[in-house]
Amino acid sequence: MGATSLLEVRDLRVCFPLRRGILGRRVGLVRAVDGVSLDVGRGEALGLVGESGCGKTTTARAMLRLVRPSAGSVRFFPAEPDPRLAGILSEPSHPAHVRDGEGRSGIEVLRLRAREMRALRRHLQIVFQDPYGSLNPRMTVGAILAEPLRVHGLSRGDALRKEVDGLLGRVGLHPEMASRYPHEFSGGQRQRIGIARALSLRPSFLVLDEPVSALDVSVQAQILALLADLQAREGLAYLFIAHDLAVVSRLCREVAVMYLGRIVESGPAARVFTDPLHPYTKALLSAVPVPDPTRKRTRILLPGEPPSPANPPSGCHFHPRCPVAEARCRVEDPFLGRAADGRLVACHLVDRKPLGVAPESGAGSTRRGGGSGPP
Amino acid sequence: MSLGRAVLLRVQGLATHFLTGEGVAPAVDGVSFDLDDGQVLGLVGESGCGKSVTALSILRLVPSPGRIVGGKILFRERNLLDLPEEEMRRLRGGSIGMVFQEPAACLNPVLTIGSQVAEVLEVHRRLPGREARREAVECLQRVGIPDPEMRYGEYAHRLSGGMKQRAMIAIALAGKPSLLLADEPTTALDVTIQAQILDLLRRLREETGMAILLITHNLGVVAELADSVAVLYAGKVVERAPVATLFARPAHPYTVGLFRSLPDLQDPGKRFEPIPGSVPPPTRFPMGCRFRDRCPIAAEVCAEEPRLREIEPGHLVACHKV
Repeated sequence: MGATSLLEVRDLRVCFPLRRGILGRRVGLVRAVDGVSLDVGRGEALGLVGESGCGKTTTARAMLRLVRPSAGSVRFFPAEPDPRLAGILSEPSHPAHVRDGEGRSGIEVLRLRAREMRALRRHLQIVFQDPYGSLNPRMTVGAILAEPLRVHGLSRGDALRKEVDGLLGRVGLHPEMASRYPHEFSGGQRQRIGIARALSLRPSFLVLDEPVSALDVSVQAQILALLADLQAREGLAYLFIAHDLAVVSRLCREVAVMYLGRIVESGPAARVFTDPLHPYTKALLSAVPVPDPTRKRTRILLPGEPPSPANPPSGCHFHPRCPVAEARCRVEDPFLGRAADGRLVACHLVDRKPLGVAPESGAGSTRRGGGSGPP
Repeated sequence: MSLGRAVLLRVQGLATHFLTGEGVAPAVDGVSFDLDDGQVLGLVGESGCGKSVTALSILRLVPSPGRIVGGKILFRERNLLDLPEEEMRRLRGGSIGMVFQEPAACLNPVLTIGSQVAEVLEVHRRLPGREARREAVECLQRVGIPDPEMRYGEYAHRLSGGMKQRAMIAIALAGKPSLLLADEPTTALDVTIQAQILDLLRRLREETGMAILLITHNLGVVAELADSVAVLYAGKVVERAPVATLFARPAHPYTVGLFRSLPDLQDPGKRFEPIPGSVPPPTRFPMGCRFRDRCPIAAEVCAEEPRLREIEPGHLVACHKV
């Protein structure tokens, strides 16, 4: 990857209690995110792919503290100075103050107090999947875009109006659209508004949670082009969540594949998508319908469906569906290790070396240690 | 379209319009295509192109304020638009099966999966109760529902998305259809489950010889399953061809644009050329060629409506500039 990291996620875990009955007795624990580690470099796009329920959205939300993580660490190294964060960055005794291997100071997002978290939100923004549900129907587009700027006290009056016009322009909409309401826009335009809102605070990092899944192919291409353009022009970093692998390959240099709360493979998208190592990645790729009737391929048809994270299989979570599973896959949890070309893979059948203790720079994502035992 | 096969379904100049407060919305406006016995025709287009309304028109289930205002729908040479409602009802779920995008919304939540299959067998094939049950279990088995005996008594909410879609397909199959209308059958599913369902449809088509009208926005799905394709834009067929021809030599600027909009896993560096703008709402379709506002090669002649014409055997395009 080569870029300095902007966000480092280590061993992130999110558990949801499973409750039953009128007393809400806790009867189990769903490990939605089960020890995920990721690095997002400055200005880099990392794709997070997997099927529904694999925990990709929960991972992103936990990183932004929109759900409460049970364990792990999310370290943020601001790309630009922010006076509201200076107190943490320059004060080693602050509980959220951290330093990386190179001595840069950063912020442990999970240790911030609520007020400090609000200040940090400026830098970490999110674009949601549903362009219909995520815009307030009673607010004009102008008001929707102005609200974050007002709340954070970044702009007011004439300057605010100008800022809103500028935002609309940046996402390819006309400034005069500011006086209209969301229902007057098409799905693609609404998604542009969602992007403009996320951009309004000039963040350095955006979570894009399935931003084009609800859109038609031709509109999807427009939005992807806009996102690629914004990334190139403004140096934004993305965590791009999608179930559509082709869409991810379009935008992301690095990609991580999730299955049942864990990362099973990660590395450069060009390598992962053309020469997958993990049997799940292979199956996932072979399942994508290719728009070419002449292309002959051998499809790996996975039996069954992803198991529930409330009751994950023993050993390798993927073994009940894996076409090449062996006896040890049923009992032993494969560690995420480094394959010959530097990619990270968690599979017993792939030659890989355990990760060093120190998080290596230049890795797309890492997950330390072996599996998670019972609590 | 292929040799020696009988035409099963011939849609001719179908027009289905919606009378709205803002005027007439010609959602389907002169759509024609043939589907031969045992073939799969992909009906492709983006939202609002009229592909679902076409399917609903075939079933004569167009919701108000929509009305079929013109054309013919010949199913085994009989015009469905002339049939009495009683006969139409026998066809639906019988010779013409249906599978929709959202199995959750189509399955009855208060009936068991099995009894919904059995109902079809009792109504359409007049099987007595016990036999219907036995055969329903068989149907569930054929669509790959594990433990069909046990699943017979299961309710829809207990099934996963993929299993619900299998149950929908079982219900459609129970009527021994010669035509299956599949409206975005895999859109709501994950890719690995989508692959399973596509595989199932392929297998069932081989086993039963039924024809499939496959409605989808996904060109990948079309390439996997269809023999021929009709591309819809704003209520009109803009291009029609055998699947290999269309993918090798797309001719209509809209079809070309769709292909250029597709990200390609094998070629991540592929240049991005999205079609500008979006499909206009049906009350505001432009006169003449409906694509001309977004078309990169539009000219004055495009103010006139282009007709579908054959540019090579079996390959029809509605564009002045091709």
